[in-house]
Amino acid sequence: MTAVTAVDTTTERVVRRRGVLRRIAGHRTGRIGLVLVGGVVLVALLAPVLAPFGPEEITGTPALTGPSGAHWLGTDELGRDVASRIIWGSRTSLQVSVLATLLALLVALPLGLMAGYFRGRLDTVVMRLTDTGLAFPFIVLAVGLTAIFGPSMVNAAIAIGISQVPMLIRVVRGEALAVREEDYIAASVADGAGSARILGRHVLPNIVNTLIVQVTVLMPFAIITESMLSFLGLGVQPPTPSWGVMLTAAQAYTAQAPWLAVFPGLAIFVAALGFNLLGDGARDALDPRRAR
Amino acid sequence: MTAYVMRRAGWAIVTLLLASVVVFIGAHALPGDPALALAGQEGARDPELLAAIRERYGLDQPLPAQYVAWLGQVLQGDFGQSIRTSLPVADMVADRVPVTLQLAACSLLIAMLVGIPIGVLAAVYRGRWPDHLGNALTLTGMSVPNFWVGLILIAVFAVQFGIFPASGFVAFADDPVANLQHLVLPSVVLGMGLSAVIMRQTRSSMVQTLSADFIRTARAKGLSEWSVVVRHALRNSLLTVTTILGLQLGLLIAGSVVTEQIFLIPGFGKLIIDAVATRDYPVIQAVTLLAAVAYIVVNLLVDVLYTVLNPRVRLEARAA
Repeated sequence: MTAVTAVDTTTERVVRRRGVLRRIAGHRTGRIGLVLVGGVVLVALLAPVLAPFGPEEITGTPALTGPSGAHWLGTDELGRDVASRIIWGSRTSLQVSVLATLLALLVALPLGLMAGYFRGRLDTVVMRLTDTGLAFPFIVLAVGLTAIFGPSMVNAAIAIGISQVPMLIRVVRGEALAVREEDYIAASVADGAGSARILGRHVLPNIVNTLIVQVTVLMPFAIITESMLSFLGLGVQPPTPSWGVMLTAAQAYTAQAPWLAVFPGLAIFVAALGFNLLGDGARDALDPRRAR
Repeated sequence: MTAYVMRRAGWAIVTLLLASVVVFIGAHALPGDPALALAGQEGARDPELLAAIRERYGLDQPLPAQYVAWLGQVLQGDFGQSIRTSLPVADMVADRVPVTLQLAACSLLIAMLVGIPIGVLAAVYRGRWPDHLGNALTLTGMSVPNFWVGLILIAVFAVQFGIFPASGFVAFADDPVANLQHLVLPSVVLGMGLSAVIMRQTRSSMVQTLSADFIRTARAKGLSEWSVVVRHALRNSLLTVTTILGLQLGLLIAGSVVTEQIFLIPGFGKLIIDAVATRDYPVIQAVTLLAAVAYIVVNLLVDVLYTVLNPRVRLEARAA
């Protein structure tokens, strides 16, 4: 919300974008978050190189063998390599959470912007619907949507994304409300700029920081919720490698093969922690109103 | 003040009606024909039986008519019959809700016992190690999937050491000791995420209160630090913490779904999953609607309570 961000030249924007990453990296916990998130993304991208076995490959080693040199994290109930499945599972986790986050943004951003900027009847309608959406605990929404569309990876992403739309609309609307009162908006209106232009070139760039922070909140939420839905059998379906699916199977072998339950959970924890730390850094670095 | 409460309540009713429409349409968007499910394998080939079932459950009526009929019954506390068990849905829900309420109360207790003291310490020793420790705990609580902790706790405390039962539920009236034993692990799992929220809220609220003028006055009077922090600052901060708790109802319901699933506790959350899995329309409608009603009513109460307790909000409400 600083005056600098209102300057609307391309070079300015590039400089500011680069500044975001640097500012997060300069923040102590933000830096750890960047490293963890970067690590998870790298593992997902390099899965074919890093994973010793395929995600659904039955290795020939007996099922439920403990950790060894050949299988660092042991084998699961079908004799598949647990380490490989965790590595491949990072792709599932990131795909679902990125898709869910994008979907939430795609729906909430235009609605929130317009409700906050135009006010009036549109605002009333959008806010009423938002309140209705908020009244449903997200799990009920997610479970209900999965029940309607059937359990699958994409549907889990849709369910998670849609369940976060009402919250996100609120945040975006609030920001748009604040920005529309700024002098430069009045100046732009006086200049004869249309609403679309004002929204796209003045309001949107001014709420980008808020959006970045929101994304760092949505991502860990989506990662954990995907694993939870998959764990409940409502998300990713076996044999697709998903950390949540792995934990469902592990539940039956807590006595004989505890390692099955330990490592997929650690993977979820590390990924979610990374984004949460990143979010902490982003909040401190990007929100001028937040006291250090 | 009264005008504010009335307007707020009016909007709550509008939201409730919208929520009921969403629930109704949502349940009907579920795939699968409930008449087929009711008729069973044999009956599915009998068109007359199917027609009779449709008529009996009102499934042959147009959707708006079905909605009005349904809403009329719901307002009288009649949620219809479960398709799966043929029991009245209201009874099924009434059986489950106390179980979940007890679980929620225990986890809330745990969350407050953990969250408030650490939050206070973090605020008092701001920027020093108790603050960092509190922050680390909060981040961990937010990042760790609670169902995974549930699995690990079962593996360690139930399977390995046999201290607590791994799953199931015993009513308090039947055996109070067994009841509490069964609730320890689930309450820890459900309370974990909540304690992170409470910790964060207590800290930020305490940081704010501790810099207020009346705290300086209290110190100037020569009161002990304990008295300043606990009797003056904490009492004022707890107001905000309490109001935030109302907003955590959604988190609590979400947590109860997965917690009850892991520990096989016959509560409200397990009812949701079971109903969805068996496409039990009347039950799905009832549980989702009740969850929404609970959320809307609790938040209305919290808003009103906050207005009553906090003179500053009262003034703003009047000005608005």
